[in-house]
Amino acid sequence: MKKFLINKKNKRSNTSIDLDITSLLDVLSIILVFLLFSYNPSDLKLDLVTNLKLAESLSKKHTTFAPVIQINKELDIFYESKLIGNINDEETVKKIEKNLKKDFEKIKIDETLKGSKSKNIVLNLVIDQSVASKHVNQIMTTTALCGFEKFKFIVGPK
Amino acid sequence: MGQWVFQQKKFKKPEKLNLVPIMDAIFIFIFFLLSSAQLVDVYEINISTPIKKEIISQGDDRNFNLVVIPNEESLDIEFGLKEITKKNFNYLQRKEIITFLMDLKKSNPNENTIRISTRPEVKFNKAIEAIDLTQDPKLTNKLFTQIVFEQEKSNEEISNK
Repeated sequence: MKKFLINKKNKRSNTSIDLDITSLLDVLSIILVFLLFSYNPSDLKLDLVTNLKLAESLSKKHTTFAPVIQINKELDIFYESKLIGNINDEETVKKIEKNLKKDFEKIKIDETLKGSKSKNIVLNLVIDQSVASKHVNQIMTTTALCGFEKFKFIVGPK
Repeated sequence: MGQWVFQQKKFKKPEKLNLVPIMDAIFIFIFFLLSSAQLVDVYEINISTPIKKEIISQGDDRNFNLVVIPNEESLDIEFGLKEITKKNFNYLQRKEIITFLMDLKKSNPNENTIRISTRPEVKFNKAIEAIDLTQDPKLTNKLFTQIVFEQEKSNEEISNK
């Protein structure tokens, strides 16, 4: 009797359940293909603000990391995704200058430590397609006075 | 004997594929791709602001000053410093614009700067369209690599100078 019970227990432990993972593999393969196609090697992580539609361009140059200024349709300015104010407000310009000057000095020190020249310090500009050029120039002039002379317009695909 | 061999072959269970390593690899791939995924496709255009060095002095012998002025419907291309040549193109005349710029580049191979001079009320997407028209992505040798973005001077500013 005892022998019989032991045998029964052994039998139970030896039985393995066969899981059908074919469907799971299919789903994983689809996700993998989708992610491979949408893979972007750029090191800039961009969180687009609301009411901002990117201008379309034929450019295929991948973005690189740099401080980001965004201007949406309502002419609100965001620095590193934080709302600074409206472009028509004088206080906004002062706030941007203050932030940028501080950051420019930081980047300049980092770049000197790395051994590269300050000429490489750039600013990413993410601007809504309907914004008038005078505002683009206004923001470029303000930021250029803080030290940023090179810019990158961030655009969407055509 | 032959029948016995046949029966043995028929009842032999097929070997199971070991899918565990491939599943592990796929999971690692998915986590890596998910962490580096950017759902918005973005690209960049290098731009610089006009600086003093780029302003051609009066004593300079060079007669190169390429300016693109985008408008709502068309774009003007101005070339020259002493004698200014003006050309007007439609946004759809891509081939003609590229041919014109290629000819300019051939006669001035050392020049790399193109100025995008925008009127105050022109929308940003028109300026980008103008930049696109002056850059042919198919060309291996780029036409004018340095793009300077500036605001067109008003008549008052010019007369004051």
